[in-house]
Amino acid sequence: MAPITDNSDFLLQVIGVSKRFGGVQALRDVHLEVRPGEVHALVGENGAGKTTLINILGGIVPRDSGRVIFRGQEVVFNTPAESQHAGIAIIHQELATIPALSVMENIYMGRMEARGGWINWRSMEEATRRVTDLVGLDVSPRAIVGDLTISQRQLVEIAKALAADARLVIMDEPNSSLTERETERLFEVIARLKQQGVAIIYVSHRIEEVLRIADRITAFRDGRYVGTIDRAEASVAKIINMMVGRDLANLTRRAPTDSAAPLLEVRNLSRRGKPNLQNISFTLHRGEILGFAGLVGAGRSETARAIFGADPIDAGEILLEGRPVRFRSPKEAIACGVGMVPEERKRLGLFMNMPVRYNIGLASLPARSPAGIVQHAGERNLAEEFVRKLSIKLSSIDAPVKSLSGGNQQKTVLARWLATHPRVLILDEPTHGVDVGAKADIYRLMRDLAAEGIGIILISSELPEILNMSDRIVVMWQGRVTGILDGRTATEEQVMAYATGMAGQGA
Amino acid sequence: MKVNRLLSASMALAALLAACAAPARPAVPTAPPAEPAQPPAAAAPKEMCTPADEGVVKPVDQKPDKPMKIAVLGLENNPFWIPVKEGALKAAEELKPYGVTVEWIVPGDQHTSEVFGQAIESAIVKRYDAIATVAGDAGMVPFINRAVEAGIPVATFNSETAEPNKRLFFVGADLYLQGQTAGKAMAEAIGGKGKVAIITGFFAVEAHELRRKGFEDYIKQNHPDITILPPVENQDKADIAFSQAKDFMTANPDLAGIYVTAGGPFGAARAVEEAGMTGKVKVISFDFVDETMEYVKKGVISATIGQNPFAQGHDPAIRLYNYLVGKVQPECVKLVTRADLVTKDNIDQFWKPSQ
Amino acid sequence: MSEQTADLPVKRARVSVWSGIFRARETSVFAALVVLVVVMSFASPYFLAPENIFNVLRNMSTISIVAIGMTMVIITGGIDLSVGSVLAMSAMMTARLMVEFGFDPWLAFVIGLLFGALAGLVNGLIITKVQVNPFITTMGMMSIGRGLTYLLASGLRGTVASNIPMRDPGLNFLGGGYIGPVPFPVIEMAVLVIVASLFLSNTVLGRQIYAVGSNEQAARLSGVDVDRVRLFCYTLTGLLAALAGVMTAGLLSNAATNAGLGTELDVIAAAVIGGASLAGGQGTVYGAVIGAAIMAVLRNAFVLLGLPAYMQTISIGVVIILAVALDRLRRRGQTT
Repeated sequence: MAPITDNSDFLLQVIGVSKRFGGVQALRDVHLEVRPGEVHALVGENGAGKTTLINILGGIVPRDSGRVIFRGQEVVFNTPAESQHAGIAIIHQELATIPALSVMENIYMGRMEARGGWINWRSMEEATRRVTDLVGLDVSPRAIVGDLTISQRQLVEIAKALAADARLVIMDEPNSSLTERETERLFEVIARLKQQGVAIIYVSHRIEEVLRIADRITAFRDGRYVGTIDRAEASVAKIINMMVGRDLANLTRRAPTDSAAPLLEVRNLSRRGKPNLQNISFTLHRGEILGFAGLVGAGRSETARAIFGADPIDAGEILLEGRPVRFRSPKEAIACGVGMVPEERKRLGLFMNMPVRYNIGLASLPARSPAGIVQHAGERNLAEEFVRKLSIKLSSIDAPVKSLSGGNQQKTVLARWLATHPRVLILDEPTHGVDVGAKADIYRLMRDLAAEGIGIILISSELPEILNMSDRIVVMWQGRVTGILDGRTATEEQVMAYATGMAGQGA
Repeated sequence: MKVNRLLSASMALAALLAACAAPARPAVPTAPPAEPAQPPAAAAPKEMCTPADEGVVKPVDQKPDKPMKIAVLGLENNPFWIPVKEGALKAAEELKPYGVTVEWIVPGDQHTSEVFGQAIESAIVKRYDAIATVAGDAGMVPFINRAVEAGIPVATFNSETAEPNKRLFFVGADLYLQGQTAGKAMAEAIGGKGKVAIITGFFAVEAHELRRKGFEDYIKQNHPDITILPPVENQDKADIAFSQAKDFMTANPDLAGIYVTAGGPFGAARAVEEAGMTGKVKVISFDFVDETMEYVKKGVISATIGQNPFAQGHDPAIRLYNYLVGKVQPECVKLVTRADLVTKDNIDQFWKPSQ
Repeated sequence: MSEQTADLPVKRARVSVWSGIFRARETSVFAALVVLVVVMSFASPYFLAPENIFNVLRNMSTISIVAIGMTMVIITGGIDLSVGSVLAMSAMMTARLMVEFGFDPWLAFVIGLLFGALAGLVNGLIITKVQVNPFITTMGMMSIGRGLTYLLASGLRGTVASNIPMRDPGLNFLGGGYIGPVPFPVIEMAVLVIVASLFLSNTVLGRQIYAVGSNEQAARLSGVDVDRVRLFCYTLTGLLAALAGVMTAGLLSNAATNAGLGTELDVIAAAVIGGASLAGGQGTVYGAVIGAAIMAVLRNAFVLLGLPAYMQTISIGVVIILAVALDRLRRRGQTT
């Protein structure tokens, strides 16, 4: 990697850039200055305009006004290819790797070395090995990307950026689906990139991480530039204040509710799959928040889906308020008062082109529609009620849900389930990719729901979230329940021990 | 008298592809009126003629040394083929006393060189003594030639490839002449002047185009007072012909005639009837479909032009036999079948309601 | 909430009908239709004659009626290539029952409709339960339906026929009748289109059709019986194709073996011109009707103006591509 030779102090300067989408001013006169070899964190709630700026830098959308100076020259990127060619690589939240192709094909996609029309696989393989070593990705260049873990795929993307000689790597929530260990590895890679003189714009909601790896931090709020601070002058409170413009309400733990009869009881639930679920048993009480901890692939979402009737069960018993139930479809589960906010809201939760009010209303629609006729006024009232209750930010309940930010989209899915008046609510990664403000709203909501007597199953990959929110914690490992811990006393170390099979039934 | 005049004027007919679209189903096979026998053919057969014994050609009275079999490859995908098949079966009956088997074979539901070519190949393998086949597709040429080279005489009927092939003779209509006959009928019906619309089956089907060109050329050459409107295609569908006929009448209140080259003429007739234009807008069409014939009877369709499908099925087998056993060459290589012009006045000769 | 709504549904329904009409894509296609009509009214003195307008409306009626079902199928992310064959098959069934077995015409009609619905149901079952791709399934059904049509036409005696008479004043009225100056098929179309539009925007099932096409997995997890929704759409499409078949046959007093050949493409084109996305989740019945109207006006225009017919085929192709391309461009301008 050639050292940066530009004279300018800044690798990238964004000066007074604005962007409007229809009626929404996504960016208003924002600034950003990135030095060569620095890690520059970009923070802000979802909807603050970070993604829009990234898309402008990536040539995905054009800016309306303002200037972008990259490597000493004013630039306008009309296509992603122009941006990449100039030396900017973007690692998107949703990974852009192609699962069916090999690692090297992904890395050299669009730039395959060909002689006389024939691809030179051998030299491509060697070149691939060089960049994968650099990012610490220990797989064969010929491995199929679809077989890799999420974190490995991310490293493939970073390797791709290196292979393209990128001078600026933009990482948009790069570790939202990584385990702690994988995150550590990512940080090592970032440090290595830094040594190479590559600058990094790091977009994240995890303030602790930002404090750890960023040299400087820029915050946006509501499409405006709030300010840039050095790490030395930064603190959690300060950053949150910049992002949200207010202080976060303290979350206080509520005493767990003990009630005699369990609301939901699962006995020896088993299901062949990936992973195999084996003899899963637990109980959920009225008003309880039952956390589900474990590594990705431990079988937590699969357990939830099986209970909810989304996947069939091979063996086992489920009792709802003491009565045995077995849902053959989510429809039946909903009819019995069980709701599930699925993981990956875009893929499993949202109807992106449909209005917010349709999205909110869908699950409760049959119950609210006498003779199958939609009550439009009722639906509007319902949507407006939840928009208010969950403080969903939107231009109109008739706007398509894709126009909302991630946090507000998540709240929309939550609203859909609250509208069904569930007795049991399963939340699978409810705060994934959600900004701090929305996160706090969701936590508050969970507490309120529990106080109303709803039993909540909370699946989360963020340990602090599990530890903070749960009355009890079910820990899973390889399709089994390895331990059920008391939320008040459990520690991260304890949970990790069970989650990695070092303790409990798995050991 | 009238029939006679028409016979000599027209001659043509048939249409395979066209016929598929516009099926004919005469309730009674049409027997030709008795005509004086033509003088014997010269040594070299003429290029084109309508033989006097069309449909009634007799086998030579001579028994072959060994039993023979003749394959007749046809179609049954629409009613046009019913009399064709009847003709082939009649030929089989006539040849049976001579120890000859005539087999009516339907290789597939569409005429393509793939299925018919394969059928010829298997007929070669099975050592048929002669083959008669439909040959509307240029891809048929090599298969026909292969059979002839293998010593098996081939006759084609109903339709011919544009490319020459080694067939012995052809029995079927001449589509261009059919079109001319239609043109003449139209000119007579409308009194030699006025606007005429053409509804054709498919621009892409050569048979339909020949019928259209024959019509247009005849009108242009002989009747300068007739205006021909730009043609439209109805994809052989009666419902499309219906709406097109309506549109033509709307756009041309003085429309004098509608010429339908292929399928669905009764759609146009229905439109004329519904608009109360019967007698003012004359319709000319092809073939003897029940639906068409009903409108002929009502006088909405002024004339419809037939071909002799029975002869198309009957004659090839007999003439092949005569060639093989009696060394009798047909009097010409292109045996054009009669074009009968059916009007309200002579319809009873050609058609009885089937229901 | 429910008390507040009790007195409102009628008013709301209207609002959503209008919002359906004026949704962006439909609006631009509707504008195109208006331009076409204005141009035509200057180009030909006959165009605006009531009789001609009714002819155009009748000519588009069968396509529009089938397009109602097709639009729903396309909204779910599917496709139905079998409509043309099912149309012919059902009409042939009705005609055969009348001619061959002396069934009461209306009983034969109902059986014909059920036969079409059955074909749609079979499509739906194969697509949902066996999970064969809709394109493949309905392409197969297209062939089966056409074959059955020939078989029915040939009858049980093995004779060959391409048109079977269907003579009954009632059935003929379905396809060729008039109420005052208005062709009856136009009234059938209008009623069905209005009912279907209200159904799509005002019923749970209608809403679920959009949900399935927008995100099938999310729909299932939200309690939508995805299979049932799909089955409904394909069955309805089969039923409407059957109705269109009997209407076509009724107009001409004949069921034809070649009826509906290629109709599936006209119907899909109408839906797509009208804003339905083959990716699913989008489309309206009104849009499809506007699409059908544009094609019908073009076809009418070429005959009225005496333009070469080849140009008509080209122009319809241009309209299809233009409609979708303009929509793409418009949306690109708004992408976030």
